[in-house]
Amino acid sequence: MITQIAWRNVWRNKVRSLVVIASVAVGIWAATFIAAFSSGMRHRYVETAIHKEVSHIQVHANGYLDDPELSESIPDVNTMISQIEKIPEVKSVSSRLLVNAMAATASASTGVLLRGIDTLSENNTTGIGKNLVEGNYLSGAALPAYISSELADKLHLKLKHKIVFTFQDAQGYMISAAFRITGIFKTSNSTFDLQNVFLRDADLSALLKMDGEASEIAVLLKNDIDVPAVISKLKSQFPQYDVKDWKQIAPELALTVDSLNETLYMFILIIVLALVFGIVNTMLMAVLERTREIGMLMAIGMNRKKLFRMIMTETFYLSLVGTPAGLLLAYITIVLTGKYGISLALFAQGLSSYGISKMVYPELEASVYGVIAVFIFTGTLLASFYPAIRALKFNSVEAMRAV
Amino acid sequence: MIVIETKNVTKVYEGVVPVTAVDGVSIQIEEGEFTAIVGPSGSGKTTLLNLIGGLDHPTTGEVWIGGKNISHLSKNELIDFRLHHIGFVFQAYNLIPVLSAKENVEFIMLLQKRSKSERISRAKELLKMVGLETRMNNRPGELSGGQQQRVAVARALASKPQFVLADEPTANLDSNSTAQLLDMMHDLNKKEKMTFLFSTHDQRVIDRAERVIMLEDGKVVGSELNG
Ligand SMILES: Nc1ncnc2c1ncn2[C@@H]1O[C@H](COP(=O)(O)OP(=O)(O)OP(=O)(O)O)[C@@H](O)[C@H]1O
Ligand SMILES: [Mg+2]
Repeated sequence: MITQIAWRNVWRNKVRSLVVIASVAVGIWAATFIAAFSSGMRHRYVETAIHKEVSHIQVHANGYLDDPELSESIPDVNTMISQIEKIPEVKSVSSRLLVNAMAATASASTGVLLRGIDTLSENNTTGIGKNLVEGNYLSGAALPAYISSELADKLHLKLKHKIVFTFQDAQGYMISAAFRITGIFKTSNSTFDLQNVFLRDADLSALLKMDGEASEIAVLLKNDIDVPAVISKLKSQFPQYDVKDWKQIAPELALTVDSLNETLYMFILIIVLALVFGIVNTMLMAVLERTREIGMLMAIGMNRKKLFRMIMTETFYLSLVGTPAGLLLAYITIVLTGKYGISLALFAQGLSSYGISKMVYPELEASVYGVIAVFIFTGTLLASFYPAIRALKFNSVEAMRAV
Repeated sequence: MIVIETKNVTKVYEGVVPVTAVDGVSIQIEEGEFTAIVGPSGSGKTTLLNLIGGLDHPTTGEVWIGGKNISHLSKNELIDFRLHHIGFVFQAYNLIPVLSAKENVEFIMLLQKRSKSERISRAKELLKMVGLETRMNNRPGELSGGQQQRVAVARALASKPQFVLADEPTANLDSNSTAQLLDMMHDLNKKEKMTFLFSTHDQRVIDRAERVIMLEDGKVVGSELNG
């Protein structure tokens, strides 16, 4: 019956209770949505980085990452690729011959990283061919080069222009070669664009006399979760090589993920605090308003434990109604925005240099809904402690004398 | 058998000017009495009833209920003692507004952890006794002041107390309702052998009491039996 009294007490002041229920709901909605938004942004950011740049796993010769030299290359890369491609979790594999070069035109020059790639498998792995904005993706000339529009602007180059690359081979001999720009691309990461030039693997390895060798093998998986499993397979299959996952290759990615998490928890904490103050205030009012009644209850023999339970139960009901309402609201918002996406076009210019795409698709793991609900639920219960304790301090004689 | 006994009870309210609201009161109430405490406003009636009802501690002196000294019980012990030994009827705000008349009567038995079937049958029986069998499912807000006081009396009896304490139970009632309530209380006093101790300064109520204890400035100034 105490729960029944508590439930009916909740509805004594309908407007006030509805305001509290609504603020619990809105609080949960906001916290959940912020979590989903940030998770969507993070996912997008990481996925973009994995699918366009880093891939899930990279394999190098043992010393390469410390000292990226041509001498630290993987010989007979084709056999290795065909072995990796047999692993069922693997979606695609791309090998690259990487060499630093000076790119020069008649009027300007800049340092770039030449990437000798197999056009088909590189496109399958990073989708670089899909970023084409003008011309063809590495075809249509004897020595085609695929450069970004940023680099083209910087070097005042246009399609079909010639560009000269100068670099050293493994023995230290200088090599200069003229390539023709057959395609211009643009990715969402402008820093990457300025620094990378794509050439055909066959062309570059011929110049370097390194046929069948590669500096790097990038492995894209069908699913993110398979990373550890494939890593251990590769390590046992190729113990002489350096096998690393994307977090090791690009530690700054993992760092961004962590700092986004911290901001998220701050937001949720602020929301919970605001809710707690709102509830303390409301329940305190509800208790003080009923001073006489509470005095009477204590006078006729309702003990403090039961009184405490009654007032806690009232708050409990408020959040019990508010919590699912907020979660449902959040779920609907997240499903809808997750489907259609939220455009960050307004900030796209700034974001693009960090490699974040314009659209964010909020998403949330089911467990996070639970965590947020528990968080806010606990907050509201803690908030009801003070009013309940205030009620216990009433002296029945004085309480009943109160007007 | 003596149900209530106060032994030289004094209550002083500390303050800038200390007020001795009850001043050395010694009274005895026998089982089955129907007694009124009367006196002008400020004479200490409420204070004395609060001391007897275990709602307040005396400054000096002792209060004995059913042969037990309750003057030194803790706050929590007093709550429990009140629940099981004393029935209360206050001047106003007696009932829980969100519960029906029947639920209000049941509530006190719930606090006493009585079984559901006992609660329901006793609540119905008592409400019938106070003439409210047709209003059992109405909430206090839907009842007249007199009807609310009758529910309060039914609730007081529901806990099977040693006596019922009522501080100016008729103060907010018109003369018709006052008469009805007193008839009913008197009836219960006779049929159920329930001891009633109530305060009043209403002459019509004083006339209905079987024994009258007169207070003035916190002191007992007289005690008489009404023929
Ligand atoms: N909590 C308190 N603090 C200080 N003085 C008090 C307090 N309660 C009562 N008094 C004083 O004690 C005296 C007795 O008050 P009490 O309420 O017992 O009188 P009463 O006979 O019930 O009066 P009434 O007929 O108006 O209800 C009064 O002078 C009152 O002002
Ligand atoms: Mg009084």
